[in-house]
Amino acid sequence: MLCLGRGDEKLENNLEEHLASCPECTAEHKRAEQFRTVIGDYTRPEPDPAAWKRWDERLERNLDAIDRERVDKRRGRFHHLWSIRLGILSSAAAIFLLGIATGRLVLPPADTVEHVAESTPVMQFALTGTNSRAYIDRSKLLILGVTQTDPARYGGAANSNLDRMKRIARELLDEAPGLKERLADRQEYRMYALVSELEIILLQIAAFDEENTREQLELVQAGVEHKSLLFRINLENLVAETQTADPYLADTCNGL
Amino acid sequence: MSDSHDLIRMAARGDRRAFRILVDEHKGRVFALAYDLTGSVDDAEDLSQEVFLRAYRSLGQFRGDSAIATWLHTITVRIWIDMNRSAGVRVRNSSDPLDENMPQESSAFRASAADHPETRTEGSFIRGYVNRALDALSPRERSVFTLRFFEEQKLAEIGAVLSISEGAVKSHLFNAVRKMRQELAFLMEAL
Repeated sequence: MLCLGRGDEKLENNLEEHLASCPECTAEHKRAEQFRTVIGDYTRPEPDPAAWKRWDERLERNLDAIDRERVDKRRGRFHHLWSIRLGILSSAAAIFLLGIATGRLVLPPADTVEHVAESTPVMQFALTGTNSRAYIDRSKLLILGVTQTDPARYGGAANSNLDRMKRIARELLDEAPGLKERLADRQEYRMYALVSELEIILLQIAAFDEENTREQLELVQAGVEHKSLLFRINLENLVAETQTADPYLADTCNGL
Repeated sequence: MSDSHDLIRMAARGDRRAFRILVDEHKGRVFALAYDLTGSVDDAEDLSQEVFLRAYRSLGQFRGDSAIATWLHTITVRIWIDMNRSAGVRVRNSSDPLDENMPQESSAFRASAADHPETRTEGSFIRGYVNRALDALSPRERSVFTLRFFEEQKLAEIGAVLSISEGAVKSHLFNAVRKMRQELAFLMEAL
């Protein structure tokens, strides 16, 4: 009863009936009541309002520290990944571009429509504009595919989606130097910068490997978000739509 | 869903004011339980702080299947049992904070409690003996005894806090009462 507490009327009635005829249990019951009295007299110290105020201030400081820790952890994880990967990728990009430049010097230029069409300024603009828009649209589709992929689904197994992404990324990387050369000639520096940043992301996608896919996906997703690449692609498309209406607005739009 | 559960949800989304309201609602009871477990004002202050910090870190894990008070009691008892287990000795009237990583701060409550009228009268006299008797219990027994007699929780609730069966609660409680009665026998006869 002492442990289980009061409240059961039938049990209490039975107890009283028993105690009336059992001296040993009566003595035990008395001791139990004495114990209950001692425990009932137990009090705790009551801190005053000033003490509570200091307690609150201490808690607030500790909560601030936890919040700072959370922000630093998020920032640190992102910077750590980027600083290591960017170093490696920058080296890879430099070697890759050097190889392309060397190839262009050594190999004869391909006889393509682009060289013929460069003869007139309007055609040159239209071709470069069309090619750059097509380029960023294809890049956008690829990036959307990557950003909408759930990294948790990849655990080291080969995946046909992944292979396709890598192939498209390599194709786009192959086209990038030629496009950038034309953009530089046209002084379309904003688009030039966008293509340069896309190249870094494309390099990362082209370098996906089976062992580290999840981590690499997260890195690409973080990079796309950090650089606001999708927003900038949409902005370029908006500018391009304005240019299509009047090609001679090109200079005005490039000034934006 | 109750208002308290709404506050938890808001706090989990980063609303510090919502968490602050929860703290103000429950800090008294958490401190009281912390004191019952540790027997020391300093340790109770540190333990109660740690309870709310632990709760703040794990707001997203609260599923709402128990009352907030029960959740906080669970955190309090588990932190205390874990600390006793890792320290090897029961923390008792120590001036060191329970958590080595917490900044060393003088107790906000030490001076307050020392000046409190209760500390100079029969209340503190009985409190001292009861605390010493509680020291004779194992951490589980002390938790069960405290939650039953001082927090007036039902056996099933105590089982939920400690993640043990009701039968185990009864067993710990029986042993705890037996030991406490032995320790306080002289006091029982004197009163």
